Amino acid sequence: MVSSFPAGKENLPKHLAHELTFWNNNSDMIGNLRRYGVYCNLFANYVGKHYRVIGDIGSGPSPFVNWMRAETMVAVDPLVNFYHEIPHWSRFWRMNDIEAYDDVRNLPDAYLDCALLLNLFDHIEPGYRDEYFEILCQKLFPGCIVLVFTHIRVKIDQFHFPTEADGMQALAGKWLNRIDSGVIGQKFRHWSKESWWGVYQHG
Amino acid sequence: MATAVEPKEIFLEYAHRLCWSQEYFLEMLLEFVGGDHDFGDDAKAFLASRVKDTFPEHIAAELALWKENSDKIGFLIRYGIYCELFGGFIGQHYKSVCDIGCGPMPFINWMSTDEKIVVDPLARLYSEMNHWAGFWLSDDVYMYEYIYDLPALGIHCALMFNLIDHIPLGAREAYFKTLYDKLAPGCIIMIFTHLRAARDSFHFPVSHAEMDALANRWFKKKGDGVVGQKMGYWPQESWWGVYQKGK
Repeated sequence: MVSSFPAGKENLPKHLAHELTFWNNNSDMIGNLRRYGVYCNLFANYVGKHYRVIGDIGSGPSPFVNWMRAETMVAVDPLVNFYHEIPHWSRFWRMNDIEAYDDVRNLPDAYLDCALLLNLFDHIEPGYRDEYFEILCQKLFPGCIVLVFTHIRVKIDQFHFPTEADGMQALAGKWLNRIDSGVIGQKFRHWSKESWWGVYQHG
Repeated sequence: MATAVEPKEIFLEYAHRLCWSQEYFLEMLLEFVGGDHDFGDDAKAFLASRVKDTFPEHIAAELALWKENSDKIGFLIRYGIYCELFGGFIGQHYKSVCDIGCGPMPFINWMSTDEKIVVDPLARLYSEMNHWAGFWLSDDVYMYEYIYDLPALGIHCALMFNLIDHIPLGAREAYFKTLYDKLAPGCIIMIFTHLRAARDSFHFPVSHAEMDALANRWFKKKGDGVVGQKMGYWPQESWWGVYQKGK
């Protein structure tokens, strides 16, 4: 485990502390399973393939990478150390031998040949997203497939920031080559009205 | 000229039809034929060794498939479809949930329940396979091979996902009868099965009319329907139903 944060949840930024509280209190695994069903449909041509190293960036408490095929599985999430210790989520971290990082900066350069950015960007402050992509691209092997999904949000809440489809398309297109992208309507009641998805390739 | 039938095949067929584990069937058989005659430990041990870890042909074929196949995304897609079909019934908290015919990656891992139970003749072997072992890590799961061995009236929600087409045609009535005794009053039963016209190495034919009659004979219907082909390798149609045992 490679960590950028000082140990202890008292040192977490406020929005991450809120997210940790949320997952501590929430054991709705069916909600995550429904979400994964949507990802499987959207990215059908890519999720079933075998990769060398897959990175699940912003993996949350039940990493999607567990169901994919790869020689090395990587999960990156600022709360990764804490998810391990939450009883109702801990078993998702024992299913496979997952390499865990709490900061994308700690990944080796040119490491990933598939990157999952699923439900990630509405958790990143808008002003930091361009820099995030720049750092991320250093970690991608040439030809890396990048799968992106984010809810479109107009408001800020305890641990989500605003996102919009055109902005995401422009940002991803600045750093990666677009293969496909689109917008889907609300799939579940607790989802925002629209979500944006894209398939990209590095270099 | 008549074809000789191996006694072992007869034994396995009957054990399976009665939904009994092989060990239990063997015990019953020895008790029945023993009468006042003592077979002796050597004879019993010999008989036990002949049936240990052997399965009827269709179960052995399924075991061979999952030894080779590690397609976890296929399960995830299938499970996403179950979530859509069974909506609110899947998301509820139950006192106990039993995943019957759970396969190598039990759906029960996702459910909210005080007690998790799985039933599958191959459960133990799945849990020992390298590529599936990770999905069997919960040490709070009760594992059974056959529904006959379940405690009576102990189940509050039963999942029968992709199960019926794995049960031989002549065994289904007995299966439902045995299951009925294991379910608590008011138990919710969720059923999904592909509708098949032909047999293959480990699937048996199932029709819409048969499922409708069978499920309705034992349980009270809360909802059902037919869905078209959802994934490339699925049959054209599948049937689903939500039922409840009388209170």
